[in-house]
Amino acid sequence: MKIQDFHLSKLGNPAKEYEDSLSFDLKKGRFAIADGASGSTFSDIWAISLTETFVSSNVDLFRGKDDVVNRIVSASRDQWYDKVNWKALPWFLKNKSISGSYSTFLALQIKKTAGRLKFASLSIGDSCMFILDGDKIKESFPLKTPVEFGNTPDLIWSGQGSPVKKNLKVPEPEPKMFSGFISPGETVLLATDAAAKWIMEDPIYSMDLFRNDFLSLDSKIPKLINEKKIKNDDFTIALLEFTDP
Amino acid sequence: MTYSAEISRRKPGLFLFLLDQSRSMSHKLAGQQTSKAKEATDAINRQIYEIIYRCTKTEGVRDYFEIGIIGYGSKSDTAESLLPNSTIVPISKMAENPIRIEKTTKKITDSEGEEVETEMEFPVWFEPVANFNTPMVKALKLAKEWCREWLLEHSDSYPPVVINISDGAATDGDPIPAAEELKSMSTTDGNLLFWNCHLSESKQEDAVVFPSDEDSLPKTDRFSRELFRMSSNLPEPFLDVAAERGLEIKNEARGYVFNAGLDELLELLDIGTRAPTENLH
Repeated sequence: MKIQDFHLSKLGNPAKEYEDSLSFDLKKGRFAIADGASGSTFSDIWAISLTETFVSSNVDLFRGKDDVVNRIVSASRDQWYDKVNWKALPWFLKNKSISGSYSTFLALQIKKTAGRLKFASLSIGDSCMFILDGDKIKESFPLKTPVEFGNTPDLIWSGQGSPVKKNLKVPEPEPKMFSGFISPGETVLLATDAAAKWIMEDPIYSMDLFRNDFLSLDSKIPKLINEKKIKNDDFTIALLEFTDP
Repeated sequence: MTYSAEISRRKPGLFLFLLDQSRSMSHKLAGQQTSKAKEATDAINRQIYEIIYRCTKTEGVRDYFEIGIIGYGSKSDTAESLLPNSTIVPISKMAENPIRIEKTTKKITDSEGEEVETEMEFPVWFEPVANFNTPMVKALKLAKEWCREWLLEHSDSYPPVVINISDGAATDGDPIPAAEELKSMSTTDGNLLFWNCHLSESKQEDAVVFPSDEDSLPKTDRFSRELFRMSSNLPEPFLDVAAERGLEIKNEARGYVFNAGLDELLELLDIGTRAPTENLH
């Protein structure tokens, strides 16, 4: 299994304001992508906490969705809560951060079963997973068409910040689940919303770039954003290739 | 389409508040136990807090907006900035430099339903004053001067939003020509927006909220009609925000409230600052 990934901050924003997150462990076959909501504070920390927590955990998506979101959110909240220095915040961050942070989230697990690659995925929001057959999109999850992207995707909430206690039970959103097999020659792509929408709108050109000219993304994605073909937003993709199914 | 320019740190917006500080502002606001000066000052301080809240991100406050506050009437025939040693200030600098911070405790309910007491901090940038006459024309001319300078560097930004709060007629001449000059200023995204709020002392007279014609205002009150003519029409994005608040207003509505109590004052400030903050990028 091989992965190539690319990310870019929203044009005009410094790199430190990037709020997407991608985490993976090739040996464990665990991948996660998240898009921290810019309307809330510390969403970058929340997005990282969600993806890192899933990848390092033993939460098994193949066993269904029961208790999965609860376990991910609970452990992610601990990480998020510990990373914020609540006592040192200036008044404007203190007042706002009590409301907590929000993020989309997509988790993917892949394992080999009887010589075949099996996958299970969980999603909240509009970060997407694609199964590609050559340069064609065979499947996309959870969204299927560009018109489904809006300004108010489903989000995972961290729960309130300090002085609310750390070990808090946070309401769980209802996840969408998707599972199946990856056939020989197929690849998998993970993308946050701006990238995913563009991939759906222009699959031929985007696939050509990803498969044949990945190193040019550094120059070509900003150009496409300036031409308004891609929404100016944080941009994250990860391309998974399977050399030995 | 106008009033659709994205607001970013490269192309910030401008909110300019004008506040009457004449002697009559010491009288109680309709339905309240406190003065018009106190309520209007609290409302503007609170609105600036709200703008900062919307601009607050993980790394701090992003300069999506600049703010100016002009008071008129605290000294005889004088209009001046209410921010110490400053005129128009980036919103992050406002966040860093309140003159004081009020601390209050608030109970919030956590997601398990338990009440948690938390200390909230509310900044104050200027204090209530009610002293002399109503040099509104001078305030409008000063606003025009500030906006002219601002527009030199922000010609393709979202147009400035100027909000005037007063309880009486100008004592230094006819304010309509000065208001027309102010409203004629523009960016590539539209003309400057000038909003007016007239504060009431009496609960017996109903507020007239975002009127669309002069006939909805008292015929005998020249001042009420003067402020109507001075006020900009509400552009579509503001009409949409007003509709979301459940207000039934016509397309020709002006950014104007006559005989406002506290609710109407807060509503005008909220709608006046809400639409631009939905264009943040």
